[in-house]
Amino acid sequence: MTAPLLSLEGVSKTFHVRPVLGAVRRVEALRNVTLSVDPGRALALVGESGSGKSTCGRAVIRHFEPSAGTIRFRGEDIFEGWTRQGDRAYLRAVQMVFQDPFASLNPTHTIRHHLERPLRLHGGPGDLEARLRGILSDVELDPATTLEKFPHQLSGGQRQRVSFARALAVGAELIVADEPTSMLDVSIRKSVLDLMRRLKEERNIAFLYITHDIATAHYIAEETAVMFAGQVMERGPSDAVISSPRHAYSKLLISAVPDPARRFDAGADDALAFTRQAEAVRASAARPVAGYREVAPGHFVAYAEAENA
Amino acid sequence: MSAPKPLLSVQNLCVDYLTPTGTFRAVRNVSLDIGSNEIVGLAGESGCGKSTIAFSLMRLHRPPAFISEGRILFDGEDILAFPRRRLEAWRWSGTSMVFQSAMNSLNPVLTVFEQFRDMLARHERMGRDAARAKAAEMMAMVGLPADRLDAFPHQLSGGMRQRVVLAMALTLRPRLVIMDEPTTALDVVVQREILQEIVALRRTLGFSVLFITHDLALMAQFADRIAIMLEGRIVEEGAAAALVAAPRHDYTRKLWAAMPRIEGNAA
Repeated sequence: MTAPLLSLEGVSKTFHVRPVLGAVRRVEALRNVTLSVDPGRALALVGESGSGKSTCGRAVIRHFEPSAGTIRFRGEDIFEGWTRQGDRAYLRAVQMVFQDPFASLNPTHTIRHHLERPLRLHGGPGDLEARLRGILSDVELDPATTLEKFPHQLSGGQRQRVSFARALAVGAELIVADEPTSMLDVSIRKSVLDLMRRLKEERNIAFLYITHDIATAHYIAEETAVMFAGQVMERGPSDAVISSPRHAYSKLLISAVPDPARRFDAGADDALAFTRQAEAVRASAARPVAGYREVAPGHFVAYAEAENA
Repeated sequence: MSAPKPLLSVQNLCVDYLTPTGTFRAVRNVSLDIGSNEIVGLAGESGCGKSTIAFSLMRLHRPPAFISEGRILFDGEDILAFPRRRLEAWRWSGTSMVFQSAMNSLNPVLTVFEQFRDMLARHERMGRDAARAKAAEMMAMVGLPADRLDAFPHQLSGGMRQRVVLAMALTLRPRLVIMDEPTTALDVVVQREILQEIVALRRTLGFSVLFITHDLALMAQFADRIAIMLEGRIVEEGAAAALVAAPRHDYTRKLWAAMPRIEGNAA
């Protein structure tokens, strides 16, 4: 087994929210999160909004320092004793692709500007023009027509491809992709997922894929981690986690994924029963995780203190 | 088509937008019937005109959009010919609407109860106490405690807000509820909770639904009949089961193929 590219070890993050009126509120956004991503593989973080999956991604790109725990990239703590060069190397190797392709590109600059700057800043061999064209072809955009365009002249899918091109330009080894397809139309979503898959397989780029769409997680990621209330409920091979979830919360989440083969024709009692069950599972899943049981090789399921394995 | 006499019948509807370079036809000759107690789904990608239809049905479309051709018959009466008074009375009580973002349809500076009261006072001339009782009854119906009536919209979660909007939409017992992406902003678990509740409520109260979404899989679970839109036209229409099992139009097939699916997930 190879050493993981990225690993989170017992990472916690507590935010202190200071409202205009009233007392400071503590929000435990991450609680003791342990995860790892291998080179050239994808880990999907799935969960509902507020589960801490985006907070996880933001910690990895060093948006803030965790309150506890360590994040290692190639075995080195990303917050400890780094030199200027080391910093730069990390910022180069770990790139982010955001949800909103309208907000993540500067509307006043051409696509050329967006790709040329990272190429210049992070250097590298070869002719600039040839590299620009090469990168655009890599993300399946036509270099001849795309380079001089402004973001508003591109579709959402094309813009998202530019975001991936920007990550490629600096030679990213890990791309943190936060809901990269959720704002795209259904018919182009899959082509962007296919691009991610290709980058992973051909370029050996690792992905931390953050999503609420479990079907796409299954499509792209070898491993999946289910998060709820800042904790990892279950993690393991995507096939196992998604087709035979073991944790009550993962079961609930996966059962709610739209499935055209199953109709919502339940009566009032069933609807109420589902809501009750959902509430009970959520309440139980929010309790602190005491540990993880390995139910199959690499497949971990959380248990809370009270139930005890 | 479906029932002997449809509740809502849209006939050759065309909606145009005025643009600096001429008119743009967003909805082209759309005909669609919704029977009593039927859930009809309207699916398509952004920009295909599905929301424009929803707004036109309520006559909530605003310039530069205008209806250039067609008729919209509700129980045999032409909505487009309604005078203003009649139209205002018909909204909420004949047909109501649930929008995608509950935060945008609820007034942020009024409590939930004030918003109920607004509607009940105007339509039913109901006093404060009667309105309170009615609002509490509706809240209970969608599974919310009555004390939430005194909350402001920002104090509720997204799912609770959408439940409040649903409760308001059903208060005057409309015969049709138009739902424009009602659960798109919600998490899947909450989405399922709310849609199952709507199905159950339809059984007890009896109303038709026009359900608009881009999520075909969800639509297949929820709707009785589905119409697929592309560039302002309905390209395919049929029973939900048939559209899943044997889509006829290329575009419908393309939409299905574009969605990664998980096989055989457990209930």
